[in-house]
Amino acid sequence: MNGEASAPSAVALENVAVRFATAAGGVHGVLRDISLAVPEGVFLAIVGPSGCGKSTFLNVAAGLLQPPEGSVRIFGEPLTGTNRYAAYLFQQDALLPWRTVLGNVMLGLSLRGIPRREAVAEARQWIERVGLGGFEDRFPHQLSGGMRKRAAVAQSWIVDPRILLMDEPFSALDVQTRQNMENELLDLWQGSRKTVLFITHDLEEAIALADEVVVITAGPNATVKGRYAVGLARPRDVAEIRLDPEFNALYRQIWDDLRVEVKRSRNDVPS
Amino acid sequence: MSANARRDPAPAATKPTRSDGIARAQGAHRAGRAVVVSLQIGVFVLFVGIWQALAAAGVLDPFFFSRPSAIALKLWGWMASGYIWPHLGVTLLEALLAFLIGTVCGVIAGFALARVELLAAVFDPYIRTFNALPRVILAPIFILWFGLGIASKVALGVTLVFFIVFFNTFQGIREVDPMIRNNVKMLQANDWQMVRHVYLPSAMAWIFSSLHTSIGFALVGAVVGEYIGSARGIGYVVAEAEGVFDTAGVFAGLILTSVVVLLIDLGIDRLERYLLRWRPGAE
Repeated sequence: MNGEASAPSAVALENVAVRFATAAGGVHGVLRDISLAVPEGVFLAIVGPSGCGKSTFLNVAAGLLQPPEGSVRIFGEPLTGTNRYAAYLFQQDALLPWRTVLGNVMLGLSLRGIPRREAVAEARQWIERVGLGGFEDRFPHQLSGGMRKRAAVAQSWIVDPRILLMDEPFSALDVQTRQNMENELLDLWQGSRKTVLFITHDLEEAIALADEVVVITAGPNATVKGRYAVGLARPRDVAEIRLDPEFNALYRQIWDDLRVEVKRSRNDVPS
Repeated sequence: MSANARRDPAPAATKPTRSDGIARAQGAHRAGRAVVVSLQIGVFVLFVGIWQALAAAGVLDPFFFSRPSAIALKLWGWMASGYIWPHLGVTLLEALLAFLIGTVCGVIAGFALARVELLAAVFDPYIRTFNALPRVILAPIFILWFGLGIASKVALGVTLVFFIVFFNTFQGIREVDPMIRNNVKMLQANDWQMVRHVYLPSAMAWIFSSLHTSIGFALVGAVVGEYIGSARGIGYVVAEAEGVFDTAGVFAGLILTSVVVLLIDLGIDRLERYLLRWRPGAE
């Protein structure tokens, strides 16, 4: 169905704007004039100050939010409804509390009508892969935050999505767990040709993980401020790469851009 | 009463194996329970003893207040002769039907109104009005409409059960975590799968916390309906006893009803503990 000569972008946003009606009757602009094309297979990190609308951006790409302005194309096709190529890893816990780890991980396969026996076998493999072997029958509340996050990773990856949307997935974890999870994410992703949109407010995390970093301005009416290629060699170790001089040079360069926005968000946003 | 179904936002990390401290804490809890149960029995014995003594001493007129020994004998006589069982069976059948019909209707209506904004807006005043109505005054109407048989009692029970289940289902659906909703939507669930995997299990916790109340009301509907007009059931037995100034019979009927409700409640407790075992603090 792809009529274009060159391969279409995995995700392409064009002139997207998002506004919400406020309780006071006014209009609150969250995003404006967002144009961004993400080629397939690229790990793209999106950084911006807290509260700048990064999550809204991801919800637009996920199809959970229809922007009133602009167009969204996924592999060249206009996006209608939820994005069926994408899996979403949420910032907070989104596991179904009434399902066990196994039940949660296999959910995506069950919903697609895959026979139970097959789904269970596949889910067990994924549970093993994310290091939760032996915890299949636990309910989410019986797991630690890190383990719940692993279960969520398995839940979203088991359906073999071509696009991964991640909204500050590791921000609630302690530094040690977080670095482990980041390394494991890179291992899983490496060579998978999956396109990743990774939201974070942590510039170090963005550079350590991504091929490209996009800086978003402070809200309201946030938009894309800059886009930087990260040429660091792979495979990477997120803990060690922070000592790389190239990493530091990049950090300084992007931070110059980001600093202004972080300051603005501190001054403007009362919360 | 029914608002305890909300999930704890971020339950603390739980270790897979139970630590010593928790095991000891549970042991302590059990010891405390033995004390509570003996005190509960003590209260019962004291109450019944005083009642019996006052009746024997003539302070309480046995004609109006009966006495525990007479009530116990009455109950025993009913059970030994087999007189009470068909009546109890009829009452339980009415309660069960009222409970089932009321629950199914309540769940469906709760779903519909929680999911369709317009329906909720249109029906809101009617539901409030009807819920504010004392349902017992409907009993004569139902007897006119459905006759003296079990149908009129079931109808009365349904009007009681329906609203409890309806309000809890409505609330349960409205309170579904949007994060979970979006997550399952992204896993490509269709509308029916959303209901089955997200809305229903989420509302289940609320519906269950209302079961204790609704099963009691189902029985209330049955007994009150029988009391007002029927030829069978516990309510009829009580009305009959009242008609011949058999105070012991009235009390025996009341006690039998309470014991039945208590037993059903215990059963629901177990079922609830099993079905809602995924909730933090359920163990």
